[in-house]
Amino acid sequence: MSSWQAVLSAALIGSERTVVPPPPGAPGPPADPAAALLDHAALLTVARRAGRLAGSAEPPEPAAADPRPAVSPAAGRRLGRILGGEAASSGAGDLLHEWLTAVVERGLRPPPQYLPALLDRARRVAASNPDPDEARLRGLVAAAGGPRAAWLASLNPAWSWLRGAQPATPAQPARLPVGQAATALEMIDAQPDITAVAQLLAEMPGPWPAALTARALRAATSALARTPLNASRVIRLAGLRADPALGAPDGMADFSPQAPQVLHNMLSVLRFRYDMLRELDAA
Amino acid sequence: MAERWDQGQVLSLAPDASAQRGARSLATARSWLSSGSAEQPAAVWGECQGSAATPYRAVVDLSGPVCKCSCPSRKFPCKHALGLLLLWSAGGVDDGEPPDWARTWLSGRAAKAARAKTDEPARAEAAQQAAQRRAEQREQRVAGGLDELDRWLLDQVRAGLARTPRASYQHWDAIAARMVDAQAAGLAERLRSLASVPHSGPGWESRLLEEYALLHLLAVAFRGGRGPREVVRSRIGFTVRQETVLGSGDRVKDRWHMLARRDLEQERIRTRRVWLRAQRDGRFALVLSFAAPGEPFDGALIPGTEADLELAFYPDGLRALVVTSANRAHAAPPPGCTVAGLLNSWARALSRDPWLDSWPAVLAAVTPSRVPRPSLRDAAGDALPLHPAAAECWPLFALSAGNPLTLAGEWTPRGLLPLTAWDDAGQVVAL
Repeated sequence: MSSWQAVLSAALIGSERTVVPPPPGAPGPPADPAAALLDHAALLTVARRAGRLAGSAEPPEPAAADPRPAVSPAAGRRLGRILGGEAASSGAGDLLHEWLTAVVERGLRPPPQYLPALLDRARRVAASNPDPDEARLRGLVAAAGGPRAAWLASLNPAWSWLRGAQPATPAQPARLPVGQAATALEMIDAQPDITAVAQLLAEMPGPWPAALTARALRAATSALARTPLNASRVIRLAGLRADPALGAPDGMADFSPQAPQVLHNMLSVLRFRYDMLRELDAA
Repeated sequence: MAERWDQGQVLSLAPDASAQRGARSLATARSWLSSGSAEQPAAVWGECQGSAATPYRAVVDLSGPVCKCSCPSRKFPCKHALGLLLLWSAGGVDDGEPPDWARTWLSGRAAKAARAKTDEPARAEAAQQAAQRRAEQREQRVAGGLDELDRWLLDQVRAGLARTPRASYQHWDAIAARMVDAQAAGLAERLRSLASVPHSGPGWESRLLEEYALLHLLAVAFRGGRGPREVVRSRIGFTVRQETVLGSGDRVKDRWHMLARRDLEQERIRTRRVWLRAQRDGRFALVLSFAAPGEPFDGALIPGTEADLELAFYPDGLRALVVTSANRAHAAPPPGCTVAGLLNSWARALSRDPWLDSWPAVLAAVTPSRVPRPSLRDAAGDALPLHPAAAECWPLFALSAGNPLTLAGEWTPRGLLPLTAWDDAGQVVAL
């Protein structure tokens, strides 16, 4: 039994009831056993702390190298903000899977320190979730996380879901042919009824060029007073289908502060998306 | 003739509008049976027939101005004094010799002023003696408190640590309150923090004994006047004021690297600890800042940056205040040491302060590992455990992915708390 163990045992039982191991260098039985025990304990405490030796550990097998370039620091900070909940409550849904989709499409990798949060977030979403976006999250995290995520999952049983997940394959974003966009613009201008505009736009695949997005948004704003539900739908479609490669829609600065909150929320999400994708392209 | 005031100056002394009105009505020569003014001492006096049998006597010492009147009014200055002054300012009061009743009062005031001047050194000395008495009283109280604490500690050990009432905080709150009474707030804080030790996981008995032993050591050191004096006193709770540190603390000017930051949330206050290292001589410094719960910290010491700072050190040689700051810039990953180097530096620090429970660690090329337990392994194969609170520090593992990195944090007897990591691109990550 080490000296510390002896002192600890005596202290646990109580110096009244047991023999106290004498401190080093003490001549004979101590006058006050309790004081001698504490003196001894103090000496040992400091000596043990100061004399501590290093231990040993097994070096882990490093993760396979990830050849993909990292996203820019600004994009990384944005991921941190998305994970922290920013822009999640504006009614346009969680932007996390959009960010991950954009990262996967561009062949980039997210900052490693956020992988645990991403793995946790995807773990909470069941693969059988009826919302198709949510169900895709696991595949997106698997694709974006790459070999490093697989390495982490091998260390933490909570992330064992990763082993069964299919990495999402990046889809090539189809672009609306220019001719079709021009036709759509004419039709929007010709249609006074926003419901009809909404139906028309719903049938057009994205991404839309910026001019089309701007025109749709402007039509929606002016119609907002009359049929707010359909106008919101137009905005949502515009947000989801706009092509960021052509820049932010010009019309975004035109919207007056008197527009309803729902419009502001959706516009802020639209702005967030454009900034997000621009940061990823700048990497 | 003393320099006369104008009407506005006189009326501005009035406590309210009705006093002004009363003053105006008394500002005629008719109201005053006698009056006079003088230069040395600068004063105005007069006798005014009021509703009483004897006339009211008013004197004004212009150097104050201070007014005295025999009327029963509770206003200062009363309408008589004001009226007299108005009359005087209009030129209606002649020079003269102050009558006895005025002279007595004026000379009494002059004597009091003279006494105050000569009294000043005496008063300063009296204040100093009072401070000294308070300091002596505190020393006695603290000594008494430490004796009481030591007796309490011996009682714990006599009865046996196994009988510690784990569920109740009362056990430590009571003795902590006694330490507050003894003006030893540092001891009180240490005792209150012991309440959580029995709930800190396996090995709590050993940790509790260590804490009791260290408290006993503190009592022995103070009683015997031995050991590192400033460290002992600071841990008992003799705080050093900021003004004293700024006035007489050691000043060190260097380019300092901000290594790591840790925030502590306690019930009444939030504390931010920032560790710095000097580039030229490698010295460590700890800068503390405080904020109320819910309030943000001010202060711009960000881990991963460096700046030209002048620091003023507290007597313990570790804690410091920032005096001046300039040329802040992003810093490269700091040079680190090995596990053996950290343990050596820790042992040396303990020899200066045996009660130390955290020490800055900057480790180079360490790899986080989970086998056999969460730890950090350096290039030589030596490993240190991670603190139980950081065992699940997954961002650290994600950053490393099995590769070595540079890490800064706090080394404690229970393990290392990782606070800042630098990835392969030199980017700083706060953990």
